[in-house]
Amino acid sequence: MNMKESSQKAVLLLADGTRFEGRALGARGVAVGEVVFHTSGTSTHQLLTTPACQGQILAFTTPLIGNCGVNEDDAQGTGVFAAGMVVRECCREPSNFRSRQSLPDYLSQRGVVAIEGVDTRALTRHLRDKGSCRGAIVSVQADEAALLRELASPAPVPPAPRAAQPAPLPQREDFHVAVLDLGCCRDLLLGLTLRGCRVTLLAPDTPFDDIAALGPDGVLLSDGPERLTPPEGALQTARALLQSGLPLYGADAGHQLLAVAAGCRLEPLPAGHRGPNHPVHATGGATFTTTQRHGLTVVPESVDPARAAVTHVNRNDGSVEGLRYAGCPAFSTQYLPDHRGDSTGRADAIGAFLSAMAQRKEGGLNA
Amino acid sequence: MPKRNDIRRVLVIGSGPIVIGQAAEFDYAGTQACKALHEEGLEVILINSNPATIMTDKHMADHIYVEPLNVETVQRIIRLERPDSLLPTLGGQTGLNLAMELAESGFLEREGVRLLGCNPESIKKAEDREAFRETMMSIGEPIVPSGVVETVEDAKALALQIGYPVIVRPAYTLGGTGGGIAETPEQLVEIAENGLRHSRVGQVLIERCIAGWKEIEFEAMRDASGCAITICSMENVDPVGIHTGDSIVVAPAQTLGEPELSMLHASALKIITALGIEGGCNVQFALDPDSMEYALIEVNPRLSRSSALASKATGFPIAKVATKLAVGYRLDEILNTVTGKTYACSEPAVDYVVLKFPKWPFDKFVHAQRKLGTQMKATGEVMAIATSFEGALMKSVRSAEIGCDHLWQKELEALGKDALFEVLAACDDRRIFAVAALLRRGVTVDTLFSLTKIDRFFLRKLKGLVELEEELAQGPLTDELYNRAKTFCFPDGVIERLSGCKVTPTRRASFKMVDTCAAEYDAATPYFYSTWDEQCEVSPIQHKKVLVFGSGPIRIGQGIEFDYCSVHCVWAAKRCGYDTVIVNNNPETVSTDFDTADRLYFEPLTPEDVRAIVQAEGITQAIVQFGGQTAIKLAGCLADMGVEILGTSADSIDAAEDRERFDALLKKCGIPRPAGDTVFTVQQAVEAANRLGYPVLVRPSYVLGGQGMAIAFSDEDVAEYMEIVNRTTQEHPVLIDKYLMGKEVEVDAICDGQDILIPGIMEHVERAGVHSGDSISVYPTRTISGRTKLTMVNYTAAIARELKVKGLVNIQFVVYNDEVYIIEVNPRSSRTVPYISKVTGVPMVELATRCVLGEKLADMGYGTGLYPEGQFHAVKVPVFSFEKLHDLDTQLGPEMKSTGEVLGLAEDYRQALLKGITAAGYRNRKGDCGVLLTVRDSDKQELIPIADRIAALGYELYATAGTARLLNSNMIATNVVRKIGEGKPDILDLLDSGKIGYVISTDTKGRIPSLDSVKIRRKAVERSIPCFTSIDTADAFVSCLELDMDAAELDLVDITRL
Repeated sequence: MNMKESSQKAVLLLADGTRFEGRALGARGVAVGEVVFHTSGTSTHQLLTTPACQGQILAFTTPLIGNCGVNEDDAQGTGVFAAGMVVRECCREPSNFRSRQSLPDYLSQRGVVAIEGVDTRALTRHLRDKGSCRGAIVSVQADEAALLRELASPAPVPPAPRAAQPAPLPQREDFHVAVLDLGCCRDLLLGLTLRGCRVTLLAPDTPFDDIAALGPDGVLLSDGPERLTPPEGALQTARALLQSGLPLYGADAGHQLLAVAAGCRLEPLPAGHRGPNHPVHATGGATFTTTQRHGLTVVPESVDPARAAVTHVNRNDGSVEGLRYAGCPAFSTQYLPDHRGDSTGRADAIGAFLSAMAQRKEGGLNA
Repeated sequence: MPKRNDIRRVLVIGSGPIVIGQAAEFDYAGTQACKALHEEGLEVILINSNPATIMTDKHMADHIYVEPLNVETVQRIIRLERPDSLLPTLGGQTGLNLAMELAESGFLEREGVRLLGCNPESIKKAEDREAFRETMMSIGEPIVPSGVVETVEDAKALALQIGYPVIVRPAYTLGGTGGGIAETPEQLVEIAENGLRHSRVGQVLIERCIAGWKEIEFEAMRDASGCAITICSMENVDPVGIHTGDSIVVAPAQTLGEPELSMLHASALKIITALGIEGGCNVQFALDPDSMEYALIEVNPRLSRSSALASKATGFPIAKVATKLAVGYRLDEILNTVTGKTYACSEPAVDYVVLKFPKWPFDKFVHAQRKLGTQMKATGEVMAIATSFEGALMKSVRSAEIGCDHLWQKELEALGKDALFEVLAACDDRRIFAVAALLRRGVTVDTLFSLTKIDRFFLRKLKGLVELEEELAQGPLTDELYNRAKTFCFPDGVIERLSGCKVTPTRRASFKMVDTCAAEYDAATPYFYSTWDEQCEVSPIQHKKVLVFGSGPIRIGQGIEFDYCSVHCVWAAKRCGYDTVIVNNNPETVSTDFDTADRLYFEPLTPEDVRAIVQAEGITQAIVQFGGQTAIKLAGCLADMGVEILGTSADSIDAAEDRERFDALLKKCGIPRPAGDTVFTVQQAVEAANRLGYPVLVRPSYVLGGQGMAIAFSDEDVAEYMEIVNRTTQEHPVLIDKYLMGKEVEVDAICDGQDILIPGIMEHVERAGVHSGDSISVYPTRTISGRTKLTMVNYTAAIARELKVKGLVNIQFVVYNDEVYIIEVNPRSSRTVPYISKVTGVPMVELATRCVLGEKLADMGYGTGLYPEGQFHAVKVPVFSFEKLHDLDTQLGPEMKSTGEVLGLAEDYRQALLKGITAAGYRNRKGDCGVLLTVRDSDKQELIPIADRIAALGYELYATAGTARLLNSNMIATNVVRKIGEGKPDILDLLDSGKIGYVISTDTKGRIPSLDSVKIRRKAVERSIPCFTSIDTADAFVSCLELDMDAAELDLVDITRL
């Protein structure tokens, strides 16, 4: 095979030795990360730039990716956080009025190593059956044996990224919300700012007193990269917040942080929930569709009724999707709230958070 | 669900006969619904006038009424059967309209019948143009500027306000009937008049035309608790301006970014919630390609063609779920049996590309106007599944059976650029081929975009296909190039033709599963599509199995009856202990419900595609006689693959179609046939015709539905018809037969290789010369002597044995001068099988399948020979969709034109006929109008007594000079009307005047739109005036009028009790 052909070839190598042949896409090189599959077809750029996807190699089940190109307005964070991307076909000439750049060009420009031409359904079946695992995209000459050894050893945990600065500005200010920034995505912040909240981004281990001093109406514990054991500094802050009587809302990783702070344990899901179609059932209520991207979940048996109660479960596998915390106006959801606000009302977690803050204001209570 | 004890007996309304705009998708939906209701332990009463459906099978419902679908009949059934609920949402627009009338009149409430799956308020909000606008405005959903009017004057005023161009949409119609785009006030007047007449409530909507915007559809569902989901998004490749039924559609939508998709998704859920629908709903949006602006086009608060497509595209059974919702379940309570783990509240995830490609009747109707617009013209559709858009498009082109194996059409490729631009502007069914042809000539994507407004994304995909063709033509054919072409689903034949190289593949196609969840769950759906990936998800069935074929897209001549047969064959084979594998590409049918067979392959029905399945499954046996001509054509290649054809052999099939072999066969059996010759050229044809003596029948062999058949009365006729036939390359000779004007009789027989069983002999009301599919067919026979019947039975037995038929055979006889002749033998199932099975109680396909699998008729309990006649008369009446096909002559002839059929059942023949006629839509005017008579010379004598009878009923007679003179001289008072060109007012003005209620117009010629007689018949169609084009049909109709009974007085017949 000649040099030109070989420079086109690429392979996705999984930790268990399974290989998926394909063609190089984006930057050339070696990308290492946790390989996970997403069933959404249109959120490619958003996911690549989502801080919570840090260190993940994103595989998409939808065969045609990038049809609508890239628009920086959609970025969820500053820069690309995902480690790499795996698709069947990536569109070279996007067709959409909002498109500013093709996805392959964007990937090359940002130095993202990706691969296309992979049988993504076969890959998804493998990940589903064997569980998410580490993998590497290789589009240059590399020592695969050495790579396999590297994949076998535990992954280093990089520090969690922070949300993109500056935070979006609200059109009006009804509330001031402090955000515990675990790696917050832009849409979650928009969910607040579009509905009249001014946000202040804080490091997750900010001491409680500093938070209280800001006089926020409520605290949002944001999404971000998941940790089986959240860092102690953040946990301390979370515990203090639970005692404080302040309205709290934890979303995705923030839900996991609050849950652990309230004494729960986390465990990995068999293959993660990553897609726009996960049905969530509110206990004693109705079922609604949610977007999710997580691989860890709260162990139901670890929920101590004295401290928390399960409010929502996943209708398909019964996993915990929402918690309410005893003795305080605090709740959390594993699923991501729709930042535009759901038309049916029931899935409006942010609305519930706003109500809690409004109630507190009306009651004239102090922190 | 709070278990409802108040629902025990449900009346389900079917959608009636197949017409353009409302077709097989409702058999699929209705069948799922009946099954779902039975699963819940509920009793099902069904009314559907269409006997060709699977849903009217005895085991589908507890009581089945094949009766006219009108308010009176439904009311009578309700009073008789006393159901507690009515489920109309699986019956298309027909079902919905009936439900609305019954609800609005208060009848349902008075009788204590609750409406399931819909409520009149939500239907009204969706269907009534004014209520729709108000509802949408109240929830902030943008609609296109529009207004509702009830007169042509108001229409003009409103259009002036809104601004041209405008679209006219009649309220409460289906398939866009009576609508159209008007660019000028003159055009508006014509379309508005037509639309007001077609609307049930005399209303039309005038709205701003947003042609060129993207057309996006969603199928949504919602339950009583308010949980709402969407099943699928669909994007029309052809933007707004072409009816979705006539558009190429891709699922899921491909050019929508996340913001637009979320916006429309949320909008769809908001709408289904605001309408209060508990069940399924179709929402159509127009989206500005250059902004986030969108507008609502239409909402259908029921199951539709799109829901069938969405169900097949995702694997999510919308009709089944909708039915469960209707009886009280919530979406999160209904288990998704595909995954076995998830619930119906999970929106499906799709990891492939689906394409829908329409099937049009223009290859048959060469003179019909083929321009596509807001009024649907397609009779059916195909669907294809692939891992790329290009692949799905390539597969669908060959699935459509239009003689193309890639995006290349002979006539178009011969044209220059300018001519091709004209074709593009004509905006007809050849559009996508014209685009491809222009791309081949170097026209840019941008130019094509500005002309067609087809999104550049799709145009670039087409360009990619064209470029790949060029690469193949340049060569060399490397492995890499070959694999790329296979990933785009290029058939080997095309690759070889373009590259000039022989292909010796070292790989095969692999199959992947449609599982509703993009592999997120380990599902076990037996539903597959082919890919060129290495991983194959199929492991062959380890059990004795048989391959059965569906019949492809619904078209005139090969419609739902063949799906009925394939499905029954599958069920029978299963009962005989076989596992079944079915292949088909039609998303509207029961055969492609993955619940039907043990395995479903949704693939084109071509030799190469079938070979891949044969290899993957290790198929050794196949049955081809139940899938119409489509399946029969595969017999030869299956034999080449080493697959045994069970039942009548490929050789026997050939012996029946090949003229010389067939003649020899008849001679051997001592059976007379009309004299005839085989020819290839016009010259030969004219010579043969003159030798035989006019009139003669011209017909190609190996066709269905009489495609290309015509009666020729002169050399010019012969030349004209030969030219049309030869537009498609003929591999087989054309037959020229002497035309015998006798009585047509039809027989279906089951044969086990030795004995035969004939469930019933059918005679046609129309004499020979009208295709059997277009004839009124009567069982038992009325005018055939015992001796003649015996002759036919003997002839049938002789042929069946000689051809070694195992399974079904259909024979068409003509009785002329007391002699029995055979016109045609079809060694396969036929159109009449479903209704004859139901009416005689002989399960023909089941018995035939058992014969195919080796059993003997004598052991089956139905005897042999001619089955005893029942006490009920069954009259099958054909149904046409002439109002959809502009410029198509309605004159009946040997080429089939009807799209569907209805059945009338009664003990008395005339009552059965009356029911059939009523179900087909004809009304008794009771003498309060005029009747226009204009017949050909050879019919004039027979017309006299008929005209006399019509006059006696009180009708005013009108005729052109020659006919009027004849009638008047026979003391039958007839008004003379001027022919076209003899001055005004003329015959067309008479038809416009509203004075005429029926027309009898027979012709020797016809077809060409510029002929006067054709214009008259087309005018009748436009004015919705029933027009009888055979003197025999007129005669039958008049005897119905003379019966002077209302169909409402006739006894209802429950076919489960026959």
